[in-house]
Amino acid sequence: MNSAQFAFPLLHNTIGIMTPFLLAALGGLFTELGGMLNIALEGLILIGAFFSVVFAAFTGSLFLGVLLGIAVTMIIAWIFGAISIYLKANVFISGLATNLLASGLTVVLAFQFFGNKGVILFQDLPKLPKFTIAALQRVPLLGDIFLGHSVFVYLSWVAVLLAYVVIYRTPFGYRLRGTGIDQKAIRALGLNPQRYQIAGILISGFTCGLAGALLTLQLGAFVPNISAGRGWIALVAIYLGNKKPLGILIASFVFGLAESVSNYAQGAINVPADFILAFPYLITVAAMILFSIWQHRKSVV
Amino acid sequence: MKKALILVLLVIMAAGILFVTSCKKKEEAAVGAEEKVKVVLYVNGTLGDKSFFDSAARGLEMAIDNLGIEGKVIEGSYDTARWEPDITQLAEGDWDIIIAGTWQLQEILEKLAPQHPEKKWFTYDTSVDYSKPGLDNVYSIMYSQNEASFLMGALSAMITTSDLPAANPEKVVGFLAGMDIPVINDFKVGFVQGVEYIDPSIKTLVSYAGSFSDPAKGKELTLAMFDQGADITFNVAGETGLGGIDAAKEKKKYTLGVDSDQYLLFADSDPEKASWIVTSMMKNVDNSIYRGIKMHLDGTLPYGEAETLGISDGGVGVADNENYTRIVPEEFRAKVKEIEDLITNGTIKVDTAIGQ
Repeated sequence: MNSAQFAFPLLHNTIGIMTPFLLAALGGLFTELGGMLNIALEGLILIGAFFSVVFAAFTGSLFLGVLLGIAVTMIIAWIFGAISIYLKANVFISGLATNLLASGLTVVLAFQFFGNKGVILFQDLPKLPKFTIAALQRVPLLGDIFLGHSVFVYLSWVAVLLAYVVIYRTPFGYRLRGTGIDQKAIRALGLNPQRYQIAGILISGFTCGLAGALLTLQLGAFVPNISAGRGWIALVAIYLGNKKPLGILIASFVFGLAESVSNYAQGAINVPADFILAFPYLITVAAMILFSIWQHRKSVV
Repeated sequence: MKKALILVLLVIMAAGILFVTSCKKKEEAAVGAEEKVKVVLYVNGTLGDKSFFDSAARGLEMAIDNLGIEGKVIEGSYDTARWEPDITQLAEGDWDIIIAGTWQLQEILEKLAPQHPEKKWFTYDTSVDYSKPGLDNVYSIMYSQNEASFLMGALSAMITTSDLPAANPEKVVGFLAGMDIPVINDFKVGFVQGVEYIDPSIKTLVSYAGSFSDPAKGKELTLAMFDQGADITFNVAGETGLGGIDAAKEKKKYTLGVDSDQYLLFADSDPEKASWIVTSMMKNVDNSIYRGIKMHLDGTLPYGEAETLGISDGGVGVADNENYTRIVPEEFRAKVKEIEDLITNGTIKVDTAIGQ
């Protein structure tokens, strides 16, 4: 097998793997810019994952399922935001509580609806549409790597663009960033900083709902704790991406690539499995260290 | 605003509590009249894996239906930290027999069983270390998964070198492993040996998921193996393996189930997925637990030792169903039978990863 044959599926899979990170991190970025750390990403992804697949199965429509899944995720996000912002609860505690609530609530509801605490398989679930352009499919690089993904992948790219425009080109973006820098200044302008923070949290609810929907809909099943730490990686991606949409895109790609490489490496080379499984996390640590060295250098110069 | 918000949250909480308590009431009804043997099965995972733990629960249910015992399954989730306190609590309850399987609970049993000598303990898919003191009340059930896995390896090798519709010219097969632990490696050793018995030039890709409860990871790993030329994979990974089966459906490649007859489990709900499950390697946890409870009631169960159930005892085997007959040519199935006989009569010695 030559290297191109190996590299194309590797990169193709990378794009699939990175998408949940990217979506969750983009939403988390809005919360972050509003001056709050969004610990709840992990739980929100899980809520989105559960409700979108359940609603998709009940309604028989992927679109409705995703829409309702996102709606429920935004409601939970709002509760998390309201407790932290209006009731002044510590955002760490309420965020952790949201994560714990998500993993408990989904299992309890799963048991109520389906009498099963383990894997719930959904029959006759509509298939996630894949996006291909027949004419471009044969263009070597493009067709092999960038085409043939589910629509969520392309949505996530649109989301990067949208995030960039909203953050840097709209009054909302300026005010949101202003809230994160100095709430008093925003208040002096006659604006209510709490509204911007809530908006930031609702946006994270929206994208986490989308990220979660991708996880369950492509599997056609719900599995307890299917988010499996992806929310935490997304949180790291926000920082590693230097709190910029494009930076987050790159950071998510690095994490996706690390995981994809570790998936392929297992079969191909003879290295202890434990090491390969730890590889994506090693990359995370290494990337954080390199990033902080780079930032330090920059600030010295 | 603030007061209204607090009120809303209180209402949500109250509704939640009512909801949970109303669920509980249903369970309280069942109270047995006479003294029955009380058996509890502790699952260090969750039911619904369509494989290993479901099989164990089936065994207990069979015993409840046919042997007149009282029984209950407790699901402990995959949270390692909960297992020991949970089992301690069971040991302090009024159960007569506590069943807790898998290698991951071995040390916990070795610690708790001597502290509760009045209880009887079963463990399955592993054995406690009987050189340690005070384990006379523990009965261990082990399975010769390496032998049946050898058959799976041989079958995969025949399929990958065949001209079956979904087989490709590349001589590569895949093995999706849950965790790097002795039982799983016992499967692996047997599988690889079985592949090489048919054709030593076939390459076996091995991928560990590091978890029994991550189907998304299982799917990614299996897709990666298919990309690398495999046309059949054997998933030995509990819930994680369900992702492997999903990958087979997506790529239209063959896969082999494990522990339960996974073709039958999917045949109704998702016939297309089921059609790619060539056969399953049965690990008859259900029968072995049923047999253990029955022998306990008869007073013939050998506590204080481990029993290994192989192909000839019906502990492990190949699932024979309509899909197996449909996909696999007669000649291959006959060959599998022939190898099975060679293993039972000792002509083929299958290596093991247990006790090394």
